[in-house]
Amino acid sequence: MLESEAFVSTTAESGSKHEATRGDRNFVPKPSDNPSRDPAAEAASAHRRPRVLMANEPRAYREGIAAVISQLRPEVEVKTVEPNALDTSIERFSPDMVICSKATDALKGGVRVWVELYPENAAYSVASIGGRRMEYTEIQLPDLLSIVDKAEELAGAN
Amino acid sequence: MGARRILVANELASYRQTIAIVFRELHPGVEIIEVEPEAVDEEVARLVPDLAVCSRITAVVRERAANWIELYPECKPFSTICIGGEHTAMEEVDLSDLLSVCARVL
Repeated sequence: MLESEAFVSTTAESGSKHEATRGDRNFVPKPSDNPSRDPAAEAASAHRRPRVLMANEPRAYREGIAAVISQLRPEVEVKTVEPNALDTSIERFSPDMVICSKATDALKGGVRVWVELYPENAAYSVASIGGRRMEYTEIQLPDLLSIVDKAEELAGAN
Repeated sequence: MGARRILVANELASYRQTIAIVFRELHPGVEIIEVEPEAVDEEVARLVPDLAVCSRITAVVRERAANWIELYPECKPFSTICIGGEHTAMEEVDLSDLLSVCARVL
């Protein structure tokens, strides 16, 4: 069951009501283009939780989808940010999957799995899963969860 | 007291499903009904929910629902909340605002 108290306390962490990391609160981002040679660090990296970055609009839906993913996929670390922080957050958080309203070049070039959810507030959405483009006339919540699962698989395969 | 009901009729599908699943998880004793936006008038008249959530409020919703949320009409960041006839306009509603409305009306 979703816990409203847990949700509120999560959104309030780090002094920002609207930017929150669910899960590991001591997460320190590792640059994805700078692989460690330390065996212990490599082992830790190999077992890191899959990460999903949420940057879609509007806010209540961003937070709602994040809460649902966190609840139904507890092994996944979910972070929500404002849409204008998407590119910098990709750099800092190294997500395995991004959900946003407008795909940027940094997103397309740096993240293997992403969903452009209702761009321009239209009903259609576009996803890219490991380079394979998918189009949805009206994406459903189970579709999003299925894409999260695929992102997990791809992250685990690396 | 009869069964408590929340009608969720906002656009778009995954958003509507998200709000419904959050409400269901947090209020397991409440009946959460998802309907397409086009069906909101008929369902509000039929079910008389304690709370209706939609993207565009209608005359029927105003008249028949005790409490309602007009959430992001035309996908703009403004929403209106009506609790017992008292209207509040809000900019950038967040999930905790929606949950607060549920807590107040249930």
